[in-house]
Amino acid sequence: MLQLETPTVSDRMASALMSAVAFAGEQLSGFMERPIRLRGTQVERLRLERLPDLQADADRAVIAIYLSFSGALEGHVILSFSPEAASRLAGLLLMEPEIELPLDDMARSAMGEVGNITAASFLNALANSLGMIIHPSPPTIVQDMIGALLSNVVLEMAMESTDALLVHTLFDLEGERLQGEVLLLPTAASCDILESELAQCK
Amino acid sequence: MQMTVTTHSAGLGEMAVVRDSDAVLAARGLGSCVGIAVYEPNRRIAILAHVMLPGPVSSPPDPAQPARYAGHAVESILKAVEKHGGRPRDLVIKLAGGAQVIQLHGKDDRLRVGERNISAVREALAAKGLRASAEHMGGSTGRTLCLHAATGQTTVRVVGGQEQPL
Repeated sequence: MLQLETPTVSDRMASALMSAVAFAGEQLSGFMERPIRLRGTQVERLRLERLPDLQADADRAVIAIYLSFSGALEGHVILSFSPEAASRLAGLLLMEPEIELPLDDMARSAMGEVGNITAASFLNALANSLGMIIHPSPPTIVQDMIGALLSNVVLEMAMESTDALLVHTLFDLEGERLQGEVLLLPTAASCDILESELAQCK
Repeated sequence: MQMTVTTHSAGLGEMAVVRDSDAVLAARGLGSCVGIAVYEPNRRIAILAHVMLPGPVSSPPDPAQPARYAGHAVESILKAVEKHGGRPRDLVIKLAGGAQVIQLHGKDDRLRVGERNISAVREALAAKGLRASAEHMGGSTGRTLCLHAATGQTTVRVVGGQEQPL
């Protein structure tokens, strides 16, 4: 296994990402008309190449929502959930107590909406805190193995990015806790802009 | 008494090798990567390589990641077979992986790493006079490839599915 130096995440970066996650929770809560809280529990900055290695259980099934962003910052965002958590979230939106796995077209569409609101709000909160404008793309839903997904992303992005920002996130749904992850993959240039702009924030 | 079977995982770019063993070799969560399962039945040599990239590269293989590139992986496999007294002509080779699990926005189609990995692995094998007897490759679904060293049996599993013989 490669021995790669672990980059650090500044307090400002961690704080900005956690605030953006919390804001995304507020927007999701408003959209679903239910008390939902999102809380970032840990922020990690990782060498892109290390991402798949972090997943000891690389064939664990996940349901992920992917979108890209452009504008003042460019890159990609992936939200990942366990199938059970995704089923629960889709069920809340569709007002059905149980959603069968794998998700059917209707449930995938619901998860697309959840992901769209969450990821776009997360990006907008981050951009607003820096006085920037960024444009998220429509979401894509993927149901697959976490290792397969991450290794695909890592290999496709190897030319344009070096680091990933991983926000471990708890979704609190009416007292029930679901675990998810928000993975921000800015291009190398955008990562530098993000750091530089955050350093100037008061 | 229940037997415990040891599992050796081959991570990205890594290669697992055992001889005369009951272990299971596994490449989990193969996306665009390609897993090469190799079995030499006479010497009971089992090898699983987890290829990340097509290459080619001029530098020698990284000992920590001998299977990082397709060409290096095949060379490393043959060296391991030779080291354990096996013969290349007796090898049973099976391949899995090379999927496009997600199409990232704004990416040039020529970057399709999965398809390029598939071609590169087949070409690297052919260059050594080898070919796979079974494949489970391409498409858009991740896979886990296992090689049972005791029997040489190879299995593939996709997300939400059961292990299937390959």
